[in-house]
Amino acid sequence: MTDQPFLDATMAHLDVVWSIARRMSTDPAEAEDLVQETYARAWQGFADQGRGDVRSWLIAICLNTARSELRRTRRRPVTLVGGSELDGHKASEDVSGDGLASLERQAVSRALAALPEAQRRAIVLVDIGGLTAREAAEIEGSPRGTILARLHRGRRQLAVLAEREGLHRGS
Amino acid sequence: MVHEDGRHEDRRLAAYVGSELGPAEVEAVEAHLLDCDGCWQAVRDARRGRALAEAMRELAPASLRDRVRMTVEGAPPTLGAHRRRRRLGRSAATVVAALALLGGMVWAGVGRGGPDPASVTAVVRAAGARTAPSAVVADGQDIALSRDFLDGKPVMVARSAVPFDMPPGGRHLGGPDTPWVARRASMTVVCLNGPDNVLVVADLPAERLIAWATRGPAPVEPA
Repeated sequence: MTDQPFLDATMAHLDVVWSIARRMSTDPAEAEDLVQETYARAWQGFADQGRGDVRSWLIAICLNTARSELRRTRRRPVTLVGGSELDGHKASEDVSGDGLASLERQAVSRALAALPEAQRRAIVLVDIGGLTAREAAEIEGSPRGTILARLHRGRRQLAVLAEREGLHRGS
Repeated sequence: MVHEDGRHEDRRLAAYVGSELGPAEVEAVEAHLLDCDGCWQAVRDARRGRALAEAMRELAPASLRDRVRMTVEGAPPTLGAHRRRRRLGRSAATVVAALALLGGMVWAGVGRGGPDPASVTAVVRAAGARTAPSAVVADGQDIALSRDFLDGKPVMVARSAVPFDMPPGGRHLGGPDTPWVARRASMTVVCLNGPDNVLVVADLPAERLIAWATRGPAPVEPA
């Protein structure tokens, strides 16, 4: 099997996987490692993937890989995402926009990190990853209604927390 | 809308905010929102939260795109799991050979004089940098870089589709096809060439780094 069919099928989803990895990692360098590991694992399993939705499949691998890493290092994601975000971002190539935009992103990142894990994962899958609630439910192994309930509470809580971080409505 | 069932309401409103309802359901929700201040406010907050989360989508760095491609192109799918340390794994015989040599046996093959290969220089330099790039090109050789940690110290792991040349003073642990080791200042450089070429560099004793780099064996799946 050559690698071109795999690259053709998966590279279009790199931005989505990266966005999710950023929310599951302490800094950009760790997120890059996570993405690399995700694609390496996906490459291993590509022959068995069939014709399913590639984006959902990659996202599931990314989340499982992040879980494995967390278990291995015995760290908690809530402390990971918020803690060194500022320093990590300074060294990243992906800083976009002006300083204000960067600060806003850090504020939203901290607010996301403060959400309960289940709500944060639902938001990461649906609002950042672009999955439907049904697709997220399949990845999480939960009923669609549960994902929707987590989404609703998580979104509302995120708005409240972001406002506490100084992000006012309309900003 | 059924206000007595809070969870049911949450689900319906989340689907509405996420544009996952059919036309008839949308109409029903919007009719309800006209009369219910609580749900109206909940939808406003949820929309705000969704917009904030969506704004966190990012474009992947260009260097990551290259790194992923190099990972895939340099790793045949029959090599088993790609966990970082497993990728460095080799046969148990290699481990035994490496440790035996470190125990005082002969070094077989020593690098000749001349300047260091550009690839080795680039990786050693990246290992000493506070912020290392994720990939470098040295004398036309594409090298993917990542960091790992051993004994609390950073280990620079470099991969390339092309074997890494041994620098002057480097020594093979066995025959010419076995891993080679070199020292550069305080850094130990260990190279495992072929089938995937890996160079690891760290400020650690050679024995420790070799044992780590050759830890394995990697699981091999049936062809």
